Amino acid sequence: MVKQTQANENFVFKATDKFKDITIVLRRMFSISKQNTTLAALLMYMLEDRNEKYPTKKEMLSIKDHLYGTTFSSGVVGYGKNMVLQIASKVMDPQFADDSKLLEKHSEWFVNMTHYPLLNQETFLEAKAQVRSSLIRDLDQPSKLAQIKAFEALGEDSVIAINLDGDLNTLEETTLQDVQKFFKDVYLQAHTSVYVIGNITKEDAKALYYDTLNIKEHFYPFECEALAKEKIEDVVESKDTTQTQLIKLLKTNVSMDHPLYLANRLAVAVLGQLPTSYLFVEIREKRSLCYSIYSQYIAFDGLCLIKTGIDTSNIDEVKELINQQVGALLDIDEDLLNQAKTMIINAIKNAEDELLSYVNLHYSYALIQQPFSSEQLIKDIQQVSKLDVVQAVSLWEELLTYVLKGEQA
Amino acid sequence: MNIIDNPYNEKIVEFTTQSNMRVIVVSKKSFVNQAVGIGTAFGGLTTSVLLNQQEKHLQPGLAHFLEHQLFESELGNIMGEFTKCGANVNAFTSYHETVYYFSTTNPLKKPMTLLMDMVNDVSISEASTQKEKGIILQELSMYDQMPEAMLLKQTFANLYREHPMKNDIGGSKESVQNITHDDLIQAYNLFYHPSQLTMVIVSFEDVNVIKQWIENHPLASKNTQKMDIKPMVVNETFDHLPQSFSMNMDVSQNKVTVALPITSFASTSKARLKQQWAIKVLLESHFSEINDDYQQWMDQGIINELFDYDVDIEQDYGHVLFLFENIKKEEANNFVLEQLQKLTVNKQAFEQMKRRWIFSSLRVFNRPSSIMTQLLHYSLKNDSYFDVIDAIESLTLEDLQQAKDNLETLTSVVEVTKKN
Repeated sequence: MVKQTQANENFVFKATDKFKDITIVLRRMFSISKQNTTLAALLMYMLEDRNEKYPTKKEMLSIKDHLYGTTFSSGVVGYGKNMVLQIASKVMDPQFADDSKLLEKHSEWFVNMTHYPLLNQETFLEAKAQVRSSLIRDLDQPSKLAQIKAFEALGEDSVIAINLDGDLNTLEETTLQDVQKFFKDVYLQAHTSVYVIGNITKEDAKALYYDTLNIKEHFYPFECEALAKEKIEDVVESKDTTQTQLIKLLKTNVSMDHPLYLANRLAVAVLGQLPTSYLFVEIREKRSLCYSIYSQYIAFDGLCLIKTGIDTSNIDEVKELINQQVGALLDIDEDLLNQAKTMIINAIKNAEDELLSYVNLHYSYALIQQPFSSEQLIKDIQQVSKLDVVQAVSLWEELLTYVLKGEQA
Repeated sequence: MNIIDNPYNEKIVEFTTQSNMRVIVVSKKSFVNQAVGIGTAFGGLTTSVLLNQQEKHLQPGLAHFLEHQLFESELGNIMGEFTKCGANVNAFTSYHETVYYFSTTNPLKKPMTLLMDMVNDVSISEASTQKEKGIILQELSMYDQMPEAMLLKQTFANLYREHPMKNDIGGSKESVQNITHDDLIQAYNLFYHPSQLTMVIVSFEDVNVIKQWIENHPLASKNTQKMDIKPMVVNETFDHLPQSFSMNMDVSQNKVTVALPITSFASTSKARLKQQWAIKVLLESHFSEINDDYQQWMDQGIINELFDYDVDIEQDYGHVLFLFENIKKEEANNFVLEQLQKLTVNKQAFEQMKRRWIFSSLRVFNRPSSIMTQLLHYSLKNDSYFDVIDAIESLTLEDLQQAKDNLETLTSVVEVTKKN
């Protein structure tokens, strides 16, 4: 279903004096494509590197240190067919610093960081080289390589097959003009949300970190749709490493805005997110077949991912055991279900102390037009029944098993 | 209870139980999350000790193996018990310590009691030891496929020939296979006596109530005999340096480390901390964006965003390590040696870095789990986290000059490169 992301979610404020610094998070949303992910990777490097006001690395580091070691980081998050470019900055609570104008200075610097990057041929070529190295570095990690390859196997028509960190072939074709156009037409025009959390008044937060950014308030069409794709034949590839990577993708047919969303989330937790989960107990603890095994719910695409590293000789046994554990969810253990509820509720409460978790939770609910309330969410989780979980799991379908055989494993 | 004075006005107290376990409690009333850790100074480097003045050698990887085994309890699935009360439990083994910890937003007493139960007794069967071997061997295989993990493992194995830094924290597949049930029981008896444990609690609960809970636990009154055990000091001569080594992996980009030993150590731990920070300041003022040449090195492809350096100084070892990517090992080595000749003591850069690091240390107090980990780490070394801040604040230009004069120029170079 296509929903409109609301303009009134542009500014979110949370007052607290528990942290030593004030955190500002800027989220810009746009559609996923190989071009956009690659351009975002380049732009993020350039935003962090230098800008028009501080045109050298030395000046950039100097101003950050002058602002009491203020931080600036960026990253990307996928939301179905859309992605978010997130920028986060932390600045010391002025009560710990010897500068009453610290926030004003930081605000001015933050605007320069986010709106005036130094986009020239020199910075572009540097960014291109660094992004290339970073993408190849990921491919040199068997665990990361297996995940990228598993998603790619879903086919070019699936958005989830696109690596959010960028695409090597697209990178080689990208020019400085492409980055400049992306910055002007996509990044600056994107639907933007600003979060300010810390020991600051709402008025000051808005004046310093929202009004100064000239954010274009507009509606953004957001689609939340579970992946609808037929089962794909298993893929087996190999690499000269010491362990085999096994990834199983399941189509759950339940995405974030589905009535069975919370039941699905609990099912995935019981399957492979707890020390008592089915996969952990049956495959690691009882049979010593792996060190790490877990399941992950990719909620906006309605996918469940299962991932482990094993010996090559155990591939068939582990595949069979995984299937058995997924099947066991249809008669889910009530005690384990309650443990999953307890742990997910614990994580929701913990988001009060972990700012980026809070931003993630709040933002996800805003996207599906449900006001985020941790109290209500906790109540809803507590009300999920065994029947709800069984109903959710009965919608699951096999999608793909990907194996990256370790030739020395 | 003693109050621990600190520059950040954090409410921290400490006390010692009847069994001689050190306990540190940090009050964080405004946080909903709480973190608790119990640690012992038994880590990957603990492979030779003096027990009742006799040398005793332990298998590499023993501390890490025992960490795995403490989750095996006769009471049943202890991890499941933590989960039932809404606590995330885990553990880690570093070169210097083993730490068991949990975090929770739920009532503290039950998981805290479970954590104390875990370290208070060991109840492992021969069968569970064999089962755990399989899991640990898979863990070692997992790290062996990671290029950077393999590079670091090989870097230390090459730099050190005698010192236990040559061993991986988890040991080798062979040493893990050789560890017996008896080795584990003996190691537990040696290193988990309450007098060797430190417990750190970061919580919103009343500190007096927490103290009462701890004192009511058998771990606080355990009356077993304390072993006379001391870590053995191993002096590495580094006669094998300079040296260079290449290893092949299925990678597209090569990675290189250039390591230099530090052979002159300060005599006290506080002085070593200061020595370590003095070297960090020297290196940061040259090998970071503060240096005008940094941009040129990037443009020339000598360094990239992965480039990094690290300094580590302990009682009987020390080294400086540089990490490169996409450069030949000979070029990396020449670059380090050339640049070390150019190190200068830059007063302005020094003040800039002091400011950054002092405020960065304050940020540890933003998260209960970070507070717990840092306080526990320094406490297990018989230091205080606040000694780090003192070390940075008290650094002088003379300290930097001395650190510069003591830097060695013998290198060990290791490269991970693609197979032909």
